[in-house]
Amino acid sequence: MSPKLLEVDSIEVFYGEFQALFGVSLSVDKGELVALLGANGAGKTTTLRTISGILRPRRGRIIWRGKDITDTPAYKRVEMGISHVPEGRGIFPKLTVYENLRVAAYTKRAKEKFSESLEMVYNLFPRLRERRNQLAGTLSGGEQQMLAIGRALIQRPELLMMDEPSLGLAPKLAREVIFLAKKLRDEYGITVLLVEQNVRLSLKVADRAYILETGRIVMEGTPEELEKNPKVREAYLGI
Amino acid sequence: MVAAVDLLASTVDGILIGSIYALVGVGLALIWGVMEIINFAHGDYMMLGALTAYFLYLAGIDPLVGAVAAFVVVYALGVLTQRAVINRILDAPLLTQIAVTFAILLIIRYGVEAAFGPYTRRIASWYANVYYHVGPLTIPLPKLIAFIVSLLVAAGLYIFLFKTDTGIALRATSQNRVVAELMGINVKRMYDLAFGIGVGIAGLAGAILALFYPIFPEMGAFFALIAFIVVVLGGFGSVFGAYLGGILIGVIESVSALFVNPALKDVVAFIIFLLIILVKPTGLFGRGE
Ligand SMILES: Nc1ncnc2c1ncn2[C@@H]1O[C@H](COP(=O)(O)OP(=O)(O)OP(=O)(O)O)[C@@H](O)[C@H]1O
Ligand SMILES: [Mg+2]
Repeated sequence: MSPKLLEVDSIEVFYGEFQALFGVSLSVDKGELVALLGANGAGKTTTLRTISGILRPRRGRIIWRGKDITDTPAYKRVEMGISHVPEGRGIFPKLTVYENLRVAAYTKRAKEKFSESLEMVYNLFPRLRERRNQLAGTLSGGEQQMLAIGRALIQRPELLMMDEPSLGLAPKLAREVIFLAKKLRDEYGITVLLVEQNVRLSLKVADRAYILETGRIVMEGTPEELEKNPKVREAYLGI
Repeated sequence: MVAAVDLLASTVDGILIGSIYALVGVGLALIWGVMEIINFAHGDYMMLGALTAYFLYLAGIDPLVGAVAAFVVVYALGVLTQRAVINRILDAPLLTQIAVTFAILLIIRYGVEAAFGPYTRRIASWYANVYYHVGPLTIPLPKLIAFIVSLLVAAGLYIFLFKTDTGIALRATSQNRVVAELMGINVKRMYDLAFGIGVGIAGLAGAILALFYPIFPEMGAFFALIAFIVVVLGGFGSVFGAYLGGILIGVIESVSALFVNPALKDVVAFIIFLLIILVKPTGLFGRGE
């Protein structure tokens, strides 16, 4: 059996003395769209940050294509194909839209295909093409989210991690962004790990989902399984 | 009454010397902008650059070639400092950072004094006493060279920061170091570059200053003070704001010497600086945060 694309193996992560994750394990197979769901403060962002290498786990491992990358610095993981669209978008406000996209092609992996990727991103988000010479800090929230996702696509990821991309967007846009995750998987073959609080919509697009509560995975399953679960129905779907 | 021609001459002289202040300030602004480190030893790296050019001059190397070498040498020392010391205090409390860069200042300044003596040295290039007469103005060639070099360095820095991938990455790092890392940028490497280039430019400024200014171990003190003012005037962290700030301080200083005792010209510059900051705390060219 070939190894999973990504395996998170019982990670414990601390902020100083405060423990945010208590042995979180999850896995993502190539081509899957996996959702990581949970309420405020559950540890979703912490999990993504540990996968991308911004945070180091005190215990546990991150395995990428069967290789232990727990000690690999974040910038090298991008070269390996792991892209992370951070919470709050993290665009560079004083760079232009184009420069934001250009800087995303800093890795060898991305640089070679930059013009091709740029065309793809501009076609996916025509707004970005129109505003390419505008400072990114002057974009609207939705446009900034497009830029953040566009930047990740420029990186030519194998695994795209998105941290609450729908946050702060109007319902229609929020829906579009979550369905975009599915489109990227279906049309571009990118494996997606989607962090969301919008459980209802996320379960519409995901193949599998994990539910995180105060630093622990409490449930895992297909959308059908989770939607049937009375606890999920009550706590996350409000039924 | 001050004659118009004196005013013109002082303004020109102020621009020429200001272009040196500008370079020292630009280096400091770059380091602050990218790393949020206040480099108290900045003026002493400048002195190291002047000293490098001086020793090369003794070995028969033209000071202009020496200036390029000064950049390279001080750049390398900067990277060394960055890796050995600064990297470890990036997340330390502000006071720790200040104490550490101040310690570097003392080590360089008094290390040089101990090693080479407290003497004042001069570079006497063949063009040291060449003057150009332009209308009513007399322009010393060394200052003109310094000005041209300063403009070239500023232009080069602009091209680097705005037109190259590494430069854009450096600017990205200055805006958000965590996200820069997520773009595949080795942030530690960017810090090497920022600190190395920042002090390297100061070293180069020291070398071209030495075309017409004495070299001594404590020469950095005054220029570091000027550099701080220039960075604040320019709107903390704005590299090109600092450049304009440097020119401005040079002109204020030089013109005010016409009106007050020249010994007080720096005092005037500092008072005007205080007034500007009271009116516009974000600096003349800063847009605030
Ligand atoms: N930088 C930090 N320092 C200290 N504690 C932190 C830090 N970041 C997060 N935490 C704590 O870690 C826990 C998990 O936070 P995390 O950001 O991972 O949650 P989340 O699931 O992403 O929440 P949200 O949906 O609100 O973004 C929370 O209790 C939070 O207060
Ligand atoms: Mg979060």
